[in-house]
Amino acid sequence: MNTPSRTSLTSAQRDVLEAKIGTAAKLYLDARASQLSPAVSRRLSEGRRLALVQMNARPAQSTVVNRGGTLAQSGGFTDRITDPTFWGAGLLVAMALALYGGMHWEQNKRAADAAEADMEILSSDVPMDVYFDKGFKTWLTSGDK
Amino acid sequence: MNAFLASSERRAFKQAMFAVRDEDAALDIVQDSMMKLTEKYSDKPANELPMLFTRIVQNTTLDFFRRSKVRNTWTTLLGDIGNRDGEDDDFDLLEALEVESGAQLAQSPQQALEQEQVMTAIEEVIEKLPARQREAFLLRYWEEHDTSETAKAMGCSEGSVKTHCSRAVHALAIALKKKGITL
Repeated sequence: MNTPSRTSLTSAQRDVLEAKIGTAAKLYLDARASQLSPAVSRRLSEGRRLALVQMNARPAQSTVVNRGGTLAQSGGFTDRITDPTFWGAGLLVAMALALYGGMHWEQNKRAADAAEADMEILSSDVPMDVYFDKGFKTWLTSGDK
Repeated sequence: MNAFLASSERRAFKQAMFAVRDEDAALDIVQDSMMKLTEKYSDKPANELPMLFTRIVQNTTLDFFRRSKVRNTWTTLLGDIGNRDGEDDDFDLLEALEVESGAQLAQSPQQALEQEQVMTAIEEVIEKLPARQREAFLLRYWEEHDTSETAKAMGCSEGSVKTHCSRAVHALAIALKKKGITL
């Protein structure tokens, strides 16, 4: 059997031949795709119709003209309240705010406690130096008052 | 948009069928894809629609696989093994095919019968191709995207696309030759 040598084709020639085979196959694939059953064709048409209805319905509810003549989006709120991403983002924002508020409150409380302690020390009859005297603490805990 | 979808839906359905091999699932994939396209990309220029639709169909098909967890591992594996056959590696395209300047579609009942046989054979081969080879072949030759577009759609290099396409064409040529079919 006389078969052509594998090396008889250059890379470019092989590319051309592959492209020709691919193009020929496309012709048959197109022909096959045009032979779909009526049931499949109906469902595809129905799917396309629904997609187009959806597309045509969106602009009517999404754009309105404000009093000032500017365009604004409307109809988006109803979309958003059913969107899990919207609720997820809202939850994240709420958690961030709560965390910030908690930290702020804790910081204020510490500052208030420190200020109260300072005030008590400063307004006490006991001189400040006493608090740094080790013997004073021993005297306080020994019970020999 | 209507004209674009009408011209693309059958091809999209067949591609989904090659991937999932279930008519209802393929129809659902195409319908979901059309809904996504019109919902998110209806304002895009017409020349961008083919690539967008291709990618949406691909992603929707992947979603189908993720949901159903039915990966076609065995088919892919067997297909790969088939392509690693030593005999096939030495195959020369010229041995199998004598591609004429343009394949002719049926003019007579005899030609119609032959055309039907060729179409069936081509479909059988494409079904058995490894997923990536099939994807590359269909994008490149059926949807007529260039190598760069196909690479972007598949998320791989242009070299990989060429390799996938070359292997797919060889597999096609070998299978058709075994059946005594020339394109």
